[in-house]
Amino acid sequence: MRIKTSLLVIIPAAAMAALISPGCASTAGLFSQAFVNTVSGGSFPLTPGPGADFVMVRVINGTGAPAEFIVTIEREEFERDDNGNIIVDDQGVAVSRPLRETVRLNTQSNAPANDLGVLFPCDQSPINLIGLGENLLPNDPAVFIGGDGTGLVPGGGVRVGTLAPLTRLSDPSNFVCGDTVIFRAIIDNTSAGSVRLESFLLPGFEQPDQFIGPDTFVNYQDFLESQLREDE
Amino acid sequence: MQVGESHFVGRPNHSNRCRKACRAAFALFALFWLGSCDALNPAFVSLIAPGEANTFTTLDPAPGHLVIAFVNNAEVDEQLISYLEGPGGLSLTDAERRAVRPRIRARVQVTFLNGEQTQFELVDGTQNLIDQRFAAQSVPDLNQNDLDNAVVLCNVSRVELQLNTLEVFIPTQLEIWELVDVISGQGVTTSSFRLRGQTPPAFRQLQMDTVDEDGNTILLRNIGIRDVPAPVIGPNCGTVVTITMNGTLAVPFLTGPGVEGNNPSYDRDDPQSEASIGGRFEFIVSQL
Repeated sequence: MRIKTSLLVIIPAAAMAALISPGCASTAGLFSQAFVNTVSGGSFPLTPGPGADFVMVRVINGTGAPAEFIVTIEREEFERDDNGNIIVDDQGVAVSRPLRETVRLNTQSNAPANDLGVLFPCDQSPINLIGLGENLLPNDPAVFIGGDGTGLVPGGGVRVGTLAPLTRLSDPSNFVCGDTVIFRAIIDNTSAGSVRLESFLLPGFEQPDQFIGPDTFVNYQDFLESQLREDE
Repeated sequence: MQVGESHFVGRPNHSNRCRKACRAAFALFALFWLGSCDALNPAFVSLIAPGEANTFTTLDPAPGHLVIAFVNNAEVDEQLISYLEGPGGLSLTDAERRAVRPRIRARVQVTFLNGEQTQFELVDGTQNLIDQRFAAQSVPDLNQNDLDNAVVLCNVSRVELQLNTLEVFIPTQLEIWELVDVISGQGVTTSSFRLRGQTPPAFRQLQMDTVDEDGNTILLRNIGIRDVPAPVIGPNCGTVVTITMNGTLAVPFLTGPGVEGNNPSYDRDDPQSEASIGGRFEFIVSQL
């Protein structure tokens, strides 16, 4: 009787495990790949990946209200001549200047509309700084909480504070092309404005080499390369 | 019956045995599942936030992403470029002239499977494409940074570019003329254009052609009824939705008796002339 009971337990348990571990055993089909990706990964990429021409910046709104994130990057923009060729100095070093780009990402209060990302190209001009706030300064508004969620009606500003921008100038390994940088705003009554800002890094090299589903960012990169105009 | 020997009366009580069996099943299930995975979800992240030592926190892994990309393949009419480089005072290098693109902005609405919605504004095009006599500071929208892509979480049920938010930046002042009859002292009536007003450089909404009930075009505007961006229904997780815009930014240059200079201008009594402001465009929406 005990042996029979044990078998009745072991066999279904093993069968269930084999059926719902498609991320590992490639037996997908029982659950959606999106769900599987949240549990075991391997269905879709979460970073552009090593060797990709993008850095992905994601913002996550955990405040329970619409929020607009102000994301700024600083890149090295190479000087070009009238024909579009990069200008080099006497030592053969490309002449460049820092250039900042700011985008405003509007998020809603409920998932999955509380999560929004953007891809910044980093192949032709490297990105050195990624942070919140238009000027990447501690007193800049980093997030506007409230408003109408579309950016047309702004909410109340939350300062950048101690959330320093990620920089490659002091340490090139802080982030590289192919990584995902994540900024999150959550409610924290111990923080100024009752909102705490956090940053995360998802390294591209930690992602699997292959995916069950489509390789999102590779497809996007291939598409952009196919769109190069004749005069570019 | 000996000591220690159980003796049941009636039906045996299986509840305890079931609970134990369920617990064992769950434990074995977890063991098999973890054991069959050679790596935990690599998307689990822990990071020491810069400036905050010894603080670890984690973030739930994402289900996957959908990339929504806008590709601006539109061009600028040669006559307009010549005007901007001439009287407009714009200086373009050869490389810049080849790569110049009209400044476009539009809102995209994303609807998720659970009914939630989000919106973002796409902006793309050459930022300094403007008549230099109108300082860029007077048009703050022109300096808005580009956003030509967005990444949303799965699962998405609908992606739609909202046509009523689609705008192109008209980089020059437009003169508004009106054809009037002028009677001379000798009683001779001649027709001549009179300047009635001017509109500064600004974003202008692109409009669809006006058609009758049979689909025949009555008034040609900016976008044909078959060239509007169609919504994408049920895009698969992990794919890329691309919205490609082709066409040419153009403005009318009115000629006629009384019209002075060769400036961007139109006859306000000619609907076709006014409807052509902005040029002609088409959209191709695809899923990769």
